[in-house]
Amino acid sequence: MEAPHDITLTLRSDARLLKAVRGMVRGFVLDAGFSEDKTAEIVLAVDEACANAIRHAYHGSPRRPVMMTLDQADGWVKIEVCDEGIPAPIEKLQKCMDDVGTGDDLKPGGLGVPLMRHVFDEVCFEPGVERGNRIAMRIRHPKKNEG
Amino acid sequence: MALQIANEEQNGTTVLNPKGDVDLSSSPQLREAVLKACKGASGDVAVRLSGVDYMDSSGVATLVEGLKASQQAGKKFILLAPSASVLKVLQLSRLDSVFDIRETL
Repeated sequence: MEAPHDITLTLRSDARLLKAVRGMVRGFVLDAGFSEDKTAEIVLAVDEACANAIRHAYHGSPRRPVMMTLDQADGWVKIEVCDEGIPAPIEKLQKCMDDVGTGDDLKPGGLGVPLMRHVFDEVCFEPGVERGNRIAMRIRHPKKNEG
Repeated sequence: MALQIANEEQNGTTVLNPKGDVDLSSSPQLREAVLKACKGASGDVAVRLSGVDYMDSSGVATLVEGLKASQQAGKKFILLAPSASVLKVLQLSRLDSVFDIRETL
């Protein structure tokens, strides 16, 4: 049997629950040894991933599942966020990823994906074929970087 | 605690004072207040961000909307005394240079 994740959490897709999730992620990341500053960035990026699931995959419906796993393993902190909603259009994702945000093209949307990519060392977006999305984010463990 | 937003007038500028977290659940409330001020106020509009402990990209998007609405109405849109966490998300979004950010009016 596969080893369990450090933390497995299923969140109802209600934006009012995001504050509690931020608190949990903050505790996990701080305990992993990240600085307050970097922890705040990681919490923001994970919040953005959950908010994307609620807002875009479920269109704000508050009774759908958002699944999260958090792990420290092999010198990395890994966080995954999955949903069972509408897959993100590949071309839209690609545009968000290419748009590093210079402030020249001022628009109110599409800020979350660049934030995630900026904060984590690696971010993998996997929209499902028919339904669901998986966002896998990982960042090098700070204690491993010291050596 | 839910987001609380108080209004005040300061030298002809409408100042919004949100207190709490601005995230996906609360940014619509801030958006409504900001757009109402941008479209309705006779003078400039400022948002005091010292009481905002956390802001996500939906909050940043709200501020961008406020800036654009103010520009269209020929008004200034000022961000006052942003907390460190708000300044951080503006910097991460590379939008800190887009806004008129001041410590005081």
